[in-house]
Formats: sequence, C-alpha cells, structure tokens
Amino acid sequence: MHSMKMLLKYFFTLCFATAATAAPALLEFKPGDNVAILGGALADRMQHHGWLETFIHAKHPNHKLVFRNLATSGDEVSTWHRSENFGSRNDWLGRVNADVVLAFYGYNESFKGDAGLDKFKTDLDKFLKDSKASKFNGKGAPQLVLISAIAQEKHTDIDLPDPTVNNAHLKKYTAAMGEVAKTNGVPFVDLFAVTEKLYAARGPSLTVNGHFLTEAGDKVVASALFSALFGAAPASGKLEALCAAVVEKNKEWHARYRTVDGYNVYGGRSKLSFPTSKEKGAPKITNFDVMQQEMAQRDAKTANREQRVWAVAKGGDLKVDDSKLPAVSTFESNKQDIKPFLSGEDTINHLTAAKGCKITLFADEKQFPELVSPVQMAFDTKGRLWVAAWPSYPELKPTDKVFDKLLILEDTNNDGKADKCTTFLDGLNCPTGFQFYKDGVLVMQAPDVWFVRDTNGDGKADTKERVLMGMDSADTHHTTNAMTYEPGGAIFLSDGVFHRTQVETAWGPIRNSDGCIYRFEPRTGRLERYTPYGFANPHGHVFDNWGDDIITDATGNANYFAPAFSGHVPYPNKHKNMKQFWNRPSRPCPGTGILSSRHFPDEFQGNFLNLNVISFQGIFRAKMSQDGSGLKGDNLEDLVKSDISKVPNFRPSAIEVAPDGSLYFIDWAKELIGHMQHHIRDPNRDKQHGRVYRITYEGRPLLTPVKIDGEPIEKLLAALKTPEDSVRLRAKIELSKHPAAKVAAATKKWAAGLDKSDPSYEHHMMEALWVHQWQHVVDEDLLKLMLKSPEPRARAAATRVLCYWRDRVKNPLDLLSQQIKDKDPRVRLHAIRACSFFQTPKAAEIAIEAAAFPEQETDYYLKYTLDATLKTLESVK
Amino acid sequence: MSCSFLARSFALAASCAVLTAFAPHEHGDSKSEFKVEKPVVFLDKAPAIVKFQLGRLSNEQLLLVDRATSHPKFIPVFEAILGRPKMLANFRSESVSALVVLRKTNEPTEILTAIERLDPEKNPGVLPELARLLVTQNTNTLKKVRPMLEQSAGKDSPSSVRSAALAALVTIESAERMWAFVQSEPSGATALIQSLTFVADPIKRAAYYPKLAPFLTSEAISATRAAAINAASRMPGHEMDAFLALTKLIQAGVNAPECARALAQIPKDKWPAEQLPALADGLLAAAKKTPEADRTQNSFLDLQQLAQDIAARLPKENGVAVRKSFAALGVAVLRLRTLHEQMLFDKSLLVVEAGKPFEIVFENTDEMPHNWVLVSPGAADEIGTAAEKMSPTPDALGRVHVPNSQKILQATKMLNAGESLRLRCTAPAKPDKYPYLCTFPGHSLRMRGTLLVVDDLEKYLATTTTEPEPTFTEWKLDDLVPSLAELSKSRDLARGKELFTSTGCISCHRIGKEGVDYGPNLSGVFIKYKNDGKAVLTEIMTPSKNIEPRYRAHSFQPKDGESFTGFILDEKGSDITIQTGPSDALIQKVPKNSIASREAQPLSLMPAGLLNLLSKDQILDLLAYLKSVAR
Repeated sequence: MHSMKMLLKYFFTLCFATAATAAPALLEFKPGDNVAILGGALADRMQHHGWLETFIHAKHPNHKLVFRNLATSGDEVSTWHRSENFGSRNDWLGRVNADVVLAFYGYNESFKGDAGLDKFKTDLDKFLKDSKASKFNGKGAPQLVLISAIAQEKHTDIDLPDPTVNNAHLKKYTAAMGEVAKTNGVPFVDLFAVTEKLYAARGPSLTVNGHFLTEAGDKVVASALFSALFGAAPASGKLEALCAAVVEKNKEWHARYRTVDGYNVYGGRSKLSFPTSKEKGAPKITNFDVMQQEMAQRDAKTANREQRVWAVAKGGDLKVDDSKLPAVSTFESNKQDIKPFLSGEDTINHLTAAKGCKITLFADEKQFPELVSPVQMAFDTKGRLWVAAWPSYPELKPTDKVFDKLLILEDTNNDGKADKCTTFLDGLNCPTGFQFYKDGVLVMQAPDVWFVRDTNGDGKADTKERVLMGMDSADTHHTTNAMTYEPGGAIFLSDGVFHRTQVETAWGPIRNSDGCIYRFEPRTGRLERYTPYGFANPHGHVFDNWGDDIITDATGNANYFAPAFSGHVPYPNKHKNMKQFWNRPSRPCPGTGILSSRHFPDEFQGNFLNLNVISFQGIFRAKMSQDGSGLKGDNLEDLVKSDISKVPNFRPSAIEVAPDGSLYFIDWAKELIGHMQHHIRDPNRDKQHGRVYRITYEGRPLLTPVKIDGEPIEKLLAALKTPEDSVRLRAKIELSKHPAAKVAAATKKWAAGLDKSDPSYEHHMMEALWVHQWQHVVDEDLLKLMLKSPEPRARAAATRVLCYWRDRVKNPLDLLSQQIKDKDPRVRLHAIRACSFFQTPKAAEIAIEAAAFPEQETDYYLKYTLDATLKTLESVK
Repeated sequence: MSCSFLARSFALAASCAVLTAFAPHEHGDSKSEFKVEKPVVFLDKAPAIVKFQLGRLSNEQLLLVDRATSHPKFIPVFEAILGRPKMLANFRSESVSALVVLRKTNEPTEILTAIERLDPEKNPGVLPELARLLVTQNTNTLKKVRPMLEQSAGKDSPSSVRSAALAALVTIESAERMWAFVQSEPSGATALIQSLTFVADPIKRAAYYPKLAPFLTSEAISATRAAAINAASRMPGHEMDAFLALTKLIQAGVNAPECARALAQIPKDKWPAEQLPALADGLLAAAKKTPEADRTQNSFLDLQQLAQDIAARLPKENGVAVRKSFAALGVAVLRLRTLHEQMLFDKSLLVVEAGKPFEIVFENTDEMPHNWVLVSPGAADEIGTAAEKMSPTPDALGRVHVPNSQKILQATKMLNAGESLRLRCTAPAKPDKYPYLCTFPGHSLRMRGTLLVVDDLEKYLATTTTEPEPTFTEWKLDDLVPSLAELSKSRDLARGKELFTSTGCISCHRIGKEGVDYGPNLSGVFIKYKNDGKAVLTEIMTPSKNIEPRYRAHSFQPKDGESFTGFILDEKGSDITIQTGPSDALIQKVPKNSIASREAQPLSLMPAGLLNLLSKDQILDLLAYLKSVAR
C-alpha cells in the first residue's frame, strides 16, 4: 500500500481546514449502543474495509459499541430488493436493536435524474419520519444520521466512464438530502463535496471503478466522515490491528446477514421437511430448523469477534473462543442406500465413449484430496487446468474447517495425467463460477464477484477486490455460474430462479427478480441484463466460432438460440417463452460445450456437447446447423454414456477443449445430488470425491499447444488464425495484459497484412474487430468493412459489435438500416435485436423494415425477435 | 347488473371524415383516464410492412390508428378491421363502407374480397360473421350485383367465398332457381347445402329440405351427405323427417357421431317418442363399434351424450338399460360444458364409482373464464369464498383463484372462452356427495354441481333413470314485459330477497348492507330507472348492451404471467387501480409499465341468462324486491 501515505498526505493538506473549524459533534454514543448501517455499495463496502468502525471504536474504547451493517449494494431509500422472506428493513433494524442508524443514500436514486428528485425527497422524508417514530431498540427513537453519496471519480483508467453527468445529478441529490435532513432536524454529512475535493487533488484514484472506494479510499473517506460526525479528526496511530479485528467480525456478520442459500435458510424451501430417521413415524425436520440453528451459531461467532474488537480497541487483545456455540440438530439421511464409490480409474470401465474416442483419468481425489465436487473448469493461458472445488455444497457450515477452493491442476510431464495441484485460492464458499481476466481471475463469491490476482508469482492469490456486488445467491445451486466470454471480451453471468439480484454500476443499479443472464464488461464495469427470462437454473452458455451463443436452462435441459432473446427489455419485463432448438433426449444439464478441435475428426467439429446427470448420466452430442435465422440441433451418437447401476455417482458437470485438442470434463462424483429432494444438511452429502477425465480420439495426433503465456502481441495476433476457439480465446485474454493502444495498432497492421485469398480471411478480420472490442478501442472503418463482409456470419457478428458500440460510433441507426435489409436472415435478426437498444421511435421504424422480407412471417426466430424489439420500443416516446 | 346506468351510446364519426380515435370511455362521466395508447404505425411503408404492423395490434389498438377515406394509404387499416376476429359488427360495416368509397366498388364485392383474404385456419370465427354481413345487406344491393355473386358462387372460387356468395344468392333467389343454378357442376349441390348454415332466414333455409333429403342416405356421396346432415338439424317444420332420416343413418352405422350431433340440435320437444328406443339401440351399436382406444374422443362422447338425453325420455326400465349398456362400455368419461351466458355448468350431477379412475372433459363453451373445482363434501361455500378473495396470481400449477386447501380434491386451470381440457382423476374412495364449482370471482354461489360418488355404479344406474339437469327457460324480454304490470300488486318480497341471494346477484351487487361492491349498488335501482320495470329488466337480460365505463371488463396481459380480467377504477399517475373480483381485497394497484397489453371486453362480466333458472313468478318477485328497496 505504498499509495496510502501519498493519499493521506493529500487528504490531510486538504482537510485540515475542515478540521480546524471544529464543528460540534453530530452524534453522541452511549455505552452499548447498537449501530445499524444502511445504504448501497458505499456502506456495504465499509464492512469489508472497516475503517469507519475502527475510527469510532478507537474514539470510544470503553463503549462496547455494536455495529451491524445492513447495507446492500444497490439499495435505495425506498427499495429493498431481497429474496423471499428475507425480512424488511424495519424487521432488521428491530432485530439488531438499532439505537443509532447511519443511513447512506442517494447514489442509486440519482440515476432517475431531475425527474426523480421530488420522489426522492418524499421517500427520504417518509423514511426519516417513520424511523424517528420507531423504537427499533424497544425503548426509544433512534439517533439518525443521513449521509450522502460520494462523488463519482474521473478515474485514471481511461476505460471507465466519464462521471460528469452522474456528478451533476449526484450534486442535486446531495443538496436534496441536505434539505430534507434539515427540515426533519436530522444531522447530515455531505460526502459528495468532500470527495469532489479529494478527487480534485489528483492523487492516485480513490476508487476501483469510479464509484467503489478502494480500501485506501475507504480509509480517507471514513476519516472525513468521522471528522464530520465528531467535529475532530480520528485518532492517529496504528489502528491496523483494530481494523483487522473489525473486518474479521464483519466477515462473520456478512456470512449471517447475507447468508447464501436464503431460499433454503428462510425462504420458500426452508419449509421442506424430511424424516429424521428411517423409523416409521419418525419426527420431521425442516431446512429452516437446522439452518436457523446455524444462523444462531453465526450470531454467536459474530458476538465472539465483537468481544475481541472491544479488547483491541482498549489496547489489549482477546483470543476468540468459538467452543460454546449453540447446538445444531443432527438426523439421518433420507437416502441410505448409497453405493460405494469405484475409483476414478475403475469408473472408466463402466463408461462408453463414442466410436473412436477413449476416456482416461486425468485427476481424482485419491491423488489430490482437495479435488472434491468440481463445479467449473477452465484452461489458463499457461495451459493449466483450473477447477473450482465445492466440497461444502450446498454451502459452508459455520463450523467448517475445510473451505471451497480454486485449484490449479498441472500435467508437468505431459503424460496425460495431473501431477501437481496448487490451491490458488482457499477459504471460499460456493465458488460457482470463475473466469480469467487480464492478469488475474474473476471469482464468484456470493453476493460479489472478486477480481483476484497473484502479484508475486507464487501461484497463490494475494490481492482481491470486489468488482461487482449484489449477485444474489438465494439458492446456491444456481448462484452465478457458467461465466463465459463472448469473442469480443464481455463476460456473461448466469443466474437462476428465486434470486433478487441488484448490482450497483456507474450506469445505475441493475436489478432482476429470478433468472437472468447478465452481460458484464470488466473493462468498463458495465453490467446489463442480457437475457431476462423465466429460467430455472441456467447452467450452460457457450459461444460458437462466429460469436452466436446457446443458453441452456439446466432443469429442463432447455436449449435456446440466444441471439433471438437477448435484445433489450426494460426492467422488470422479461422475454417471452421461446422454443428450444433441439429435441434433447433427457434432462437435467449442468454444463455445455462446443467441440472445436482438429484432434477430433471433421464430423465432430462444431458439435454441441450437452452434459446430463439424471437417468442418462453422460454427455450428449448434437450436430448444429443453421435453420433460417436461427439454429437447429440433431442428435448424434453420445460422446459418453455410463452404466448407472455400476456408477450411479458419475455426474459429468463441465467440459472444455484442452490446449492439445483433447477434451477434459469434470465429474461432480455424487450419488446424492438433489438440493430439494434431500435435506440441505443431509449427512450423506458426499464431501470427498471429485474427478477430471480426458477424452482423446484414438489414431489421431494431439495438437501442438500454441504458446500463449508471455508471448508478444504479434505472436498472439498470429494465434488468432488458429481454428480452435479456445486458443483464440486464450490469445485474447493474454492480449488484454498489453496496453490497448499498442494492441489496436498492431491489430490494424496484422489485419492489413492478412492474405485475402485465405478461405478464413473473413473470420480473421472478424477476430481483428473482436480484438478492438475486447480492448475497448473503436475502429469505425473496420466495423463498416465487416458490416459489408461477403461472409454473412461475419456481417451478423459485426452487427452485434455495432450494437455494443452504438454510443461510440457515428449514426449507428443509419448503419442498422442497412443491416436490416441484408439478404441473410441471421444478419437481419442481429439488426432487429440491436434496434431494441435505442431509445428512439426511429429504431422501430428501422426494425419493421425487416417485415419486407417474406421470411419474416415464417421464420420463428425473426418473428420472435422483431416482436420483442417492437414491444420494447413501443414504450419509447 | 348490467352496469349501464350512466352509459350513453357511443357516437361514431361519419365514415367520410377522419375517424377520431375510438375511446369507449371518453363519453363516460367517470373521471378515469382510461386510454389505450395510440400505436405508432407507419402507413407509408411497403404493403408487407404495413400489414405486419397492423397485424401486431390488438383490436382496441387497431381502432386507434388513424383511418379515413381521404387517402388510399388507409385501405390496409380498413381491411385489417374487416378481417379481425371479435371485432364489433359496426366497425366491420364502417370498414366496408370506407373501402367502397376508397376503391369505388360496392359492399358485396368488398365483403367477398375480405372473405377471400381470410385465413380460415387462423380465424375460423370470422367467416360466419362476414357471411352474415353479406346476407344481411339490402336485398336490392345484392340483386344489383347478381352476376358478380353468381361468378363468386362458381366452382373456381375458394370454398369460403363460394359459400358466402351462395348464401347471399339464397336470400334473393327461389330454392328452385338456386338448385338449377348449382347443377352445372358436380360439387355445386354440396356447396349450396353447406352455404345454408350462413342463411339467417329460417324460412329460406327450410325451403331446401326437400332438396337435401335425398342425400340423407347411406348411398349418397359422403361430402354431400355430411353437409346435408349438418343442415338438416336447422330446418323448422321438417324436424320429424330429419329425425327419422338421421336415425336411419345411425342405424346403418353411417356418420353416426355427426348425426348424433345434429340430432342433439333438434329441439327436444320435437323428438318422436316412439322412435327413441330404436335410436338408442342404433347409438349403442355405433358406440360398440368404436375402438376402445377412441372411446374418450369427442365423436364417442357425442354418441354417449345423445344416448343419455334419450334415456332420460324413455320408460324407466328402458332408460336404465340404455345407461347401463353405455356404462358397460367401460370408459368413464364425463363431459362437462358451460352454458353460454348462463353462468352454469351443463350438468349439475355427475356420477362415478368410488375409487375408480375417470376422465373429465371440461369444455368452456361460454364467453367468460371458468374452471372446475371439486371439493370435499360441505366445503363448497368455504372454498368459493376463499377463492373470491384471492388476487389472480397463479399458483405453482399456473392456476388462478384456487385456494391452497386440502379440501380441494381436483381443480383445473381457468379456461378462457372456447378452451377445453381433459383431466384424469380417481374418484374419492368414500361414497358421498362431492360438490364442484367454478371459483371465478362471482360465480361460485351459482355455478355448482355435485359429483355423486357411489359404491356400485351399476346398481345406481339400475335404480335411477334421470339425471337432473338444470331446467331453464330461455326467457326473452317480450315473454316477461306483459307481466310487469303485476309488479304493482303485492308480491312475495321475502322470496324475492331469497332469490337475490340464490340466483347469485349478491355475489356482485350490494343492497343496503348485504352483498358486495363489485357490480353497481342496486339500492335504489328502480329510482334511477324512474320506476320503469322494463328498463331494469332489459339491463338484467342484456347486460352487455350498455356498459358503464366503470364496469367495462378489461383483460390484462401482464408482461410476466397469466392474463386476468378486471375493472379499471383509476389510472391517474403511473399505476392502474384494478378490481379483479367481488371484494375490496381484490382492488390492487398495478404499475402501468408492468402491463404488456389490455383489451376492453365487448361483453359484460354479468351473463345474460341469469334469470333463466327462474319461473316467471320468481322473476317478478325478484324485481318486486329490487323495487321495494328503492323506496
């Protein structure tokens, strides 16, 4: 944290003037006060950084203050987007016996602009009046403090958005807060003005993305807030130990207040009950019974850590003692007849691969005991296999000592078997998804997405930052997963039913109820609902070599042609039911893939691979072909099938093409899998098995892995000619470690030098356009060239790029009005889809031009998409 | 009640001027801002694009699109209105007139052209409406275009156009000339007989009985015979002949289900008693020939239905025998329909054997949504009341107004008009009377029946001949108006009050402290109508004629979820206040932006046939009661 000192220097030179005026304290604590914190991400992040609490404890070492952070990224004064039966804001203020309420509002509200100001004032006024009239602690009215949003920072990272417009709104909303606070006689702190001054000092960025404070930023802002609250600067001196104790306490509180699996802990499925033993007439026990006992344990653990905070605040310390936690009921499994596991090797004897294919074991729990319950996998740019291990499924217990992990498996001697396993990241809870980004990895850790890096090269994570906050996890079974790249560098997050996701972005809060696929641009921080749809558990999302995608809803193994239902739909609307493109033989499906590897014969190329885990436990293979504007799938010989009577625990859950062209798939390795059919804490949930298998095609050579890691830009661009989708993807991930301007310049040169007679020329050119998109650099000429490519799939893909560059190119609608007349139906479908994103009736006038083609009446997907687009645009005036 | 106290007739602009947006409620006194937004439509695009845009609109939206006879660009708008299902007849007429002006043609030509444009597969319901519009044109207008009609009635025309044109010719020509006209080619006679279904005038129709009678034989060409069977059921004055001919066909095993359907259309009082046993035997023979796998199909159920109707009219022993024979065919399929505009099931008693599986075919032949909910003995009131208080949010099985109760044994989803479904059930193990009801708000008091579960079905059939059916009289206003004078005499007000409840009025209306505020409050209803008994009676018997804006039913399609129906109470601001049922608890505010579409319903939520269960005396008592509370 070398930048910290610099920052503090800036801060103190700036703020001494403020401190010198020594305003009277806005807030006075009584010993034992319970302090509740409300608000969006600003307040939510404070629990993880801990500085505000630290400064306050340091000033009140004998007060034994209790802080309970109830903030959630995305909250507004009048919204409370939570999963079923979470409890209202007032319920929670009552549960924590709030004597003092620190309310941080105004950021998410400000996106409604001038039109929303009056309502904001009314809502705020009501909140203050209602709160003042309440006795959350059962005794008297709470002390309230209203705190504004921070200003949005003009970040040094040029990919992040310009804050000018947002700040103009934030300023008005801050002023409004001041007014309402004043009329209600409630103390108010203007953090907007404070942070605007801090940013103007032009020190290192205080924020991660313009609006999330970094840990250092949190310290500076907490200090300013403290000064405003108490009329004096916080205590100087070493507070790191106290802060660490605060963060440790908050971690436990966060795990309780924001517990994953809420739908099973307090929501609808918490009511499911199961017999406690196989005795006839045995009493039943619900998920609620047990999980609430676990919540009581979390409460006790939080209180234990609070004791330590008080001890450290007084200058001492205390060993946390969790030996006297409340009891949790035990009971018998309702599935007793679990078949003993065969070893990973022996399991292969009961698997049948497609003709010519051979299955071998790459790794299992016998060799690497940490390899348990693998849920997602990916090869990094070094060619190493990363696996998310989820032994705690459905989620960690408060008393668990073994945590979920992100593992790296390596085959250092190239014998097709793993010989090294490194734990990159430990201490996780439900790592349902991850994806590589620049020099690190994005990891789903409900309710947040972390960007985790290994900065010292020891193979283990050492820094982490929350970059997205508020991905709900009301059912961990389908917490954000299948994190997938599109060829242009956006990452997709799949989210299932029961969830109440709300994510705070620089474009305003993004909310959704139940299932949705989100599109996330990690470079800009932009998050959008990509496919809001009545999904149950979307677990499969893959892009083909031209950038069209397939989304799979696991529960019914329903497979959808995604371009048709990913146009813009304003919240809270969703897309209407869409047909499935393939008559899949069975359900459910935990993961999918597209086979792109010359190691396999031609008839395997482009096959859709669909994993299935009940009744048929294996991997389906379907031939994909274009059907009008959309897709159709035809069944081929299964890639893998199993003898369920012998290996009932064989549950293939994800599949990837390896750098040498072979296929790898992971095996969840459980017989008991249901999260509804069995108690959440059924004792027969296996926590010991997990496998990785490999499929090769006999008699065909493996591919020579293309070197990616550490390669110069030119070599990486050359790799974009590789037919394997996964190689090109890794090359683009590696390219993003290089400066965007350099990559863009080199790409133009590379594109200019391509051989136009190469049959794949148009695809290479499309890669050049995707590299630009990935690097967040617009090349309008290249875009226009590709919009008129002789290859229809390239025109369709370029139309999709145009859609996401619509705010950055000149006259995007003129370009779309050309695409809408394209003779290829897929291109028109993308043009119709793109029209939905424009907030102007002109877009509808362009979209309907597609009806001039007779196929508009007969082509299912064209009809579906045009209908969806027009429905969206009809609400635009 | 018919919700029309304040209604005024909708003024329609003359067809030559630009017709302003049709907003049914702008004439109402209510201050509600009811308005379906005028859609943005680009009429100056290529024909396919214009057609596409208009095709997406609801009827209500379509009527908001500018239309005028001043420019040919409006032609597609009029064409769209003319071809729409469920379009009110006056808009079709208006569109015909406008197209005549725009294309300088004549009405019959425009109607026939519209029929030619129809896709009969998509909208089978529009053809009869357009055909009716054609045959009800002024006779002189039709006569003027006789050559055109004759050409359209030729074999080269699409069958829909041909039928309509023939029906139009039937209204201006004698049967003899028409018969001669169609002899020029082999399919002519068939086409003419088929067209008779479009002929509104029963006397004109009946004139063709001698022509079609020869085709009611097993030797006739099958297409012509099928047309003749269908037409034979609606031949006033020839019921006996038709009955005999159709019976013979059944006995010969020819087109038995079609004949059974046709026979069922012949008024029961015209059925010749002496023919019934033979017909019953014929039906049984035809039923036995039906392969077992098909015995749950509609064609079999048609035979069964007719047989049961006949059994009820046979001497007890014969009737029992017929019913037992059908029961012995071993398939327990019960068909239950809803009666059009009566708020009743067509059967108030169904009988099954305890513990045995049976199948119920539930067809909603009414215009209103209905469901079928089977409950534990004695639980009908409880479930009916609970259902009415529910907001129309679907349960886990997608059903609305089905309370979460163990007392519900079976429940279908809410069926919209014209929908049907089959439900496989197992009869309760314990013999008893199990009530079934429709739980759509306002229906449950009236729309009920009993599933009688018996130990031994055979024994039951052997001892019971008739199944009670709701006996009702299709009252017409003229049947009752002369008796209204009796209202001034002393009447049984206590019985009137009782009927206010038992007829189901109380489910939706309030008098004093009793009832609910869903339909209009009826305290003082006679005062509002200046003591005009006929006016009040008219409102009860034709509730859809004038609907006060406040009580206009609208169907709403939420962006997410099942559609529902309700009244709009208020729509200022960003929410709409909607009442979805007869309880204050069902008044809810819905954000406008959560509604994908909505459509004003042409029919009142109150069915027209509510009085049909009552005798004239009872109706007078009910009216007298309404009058008494007006004082």
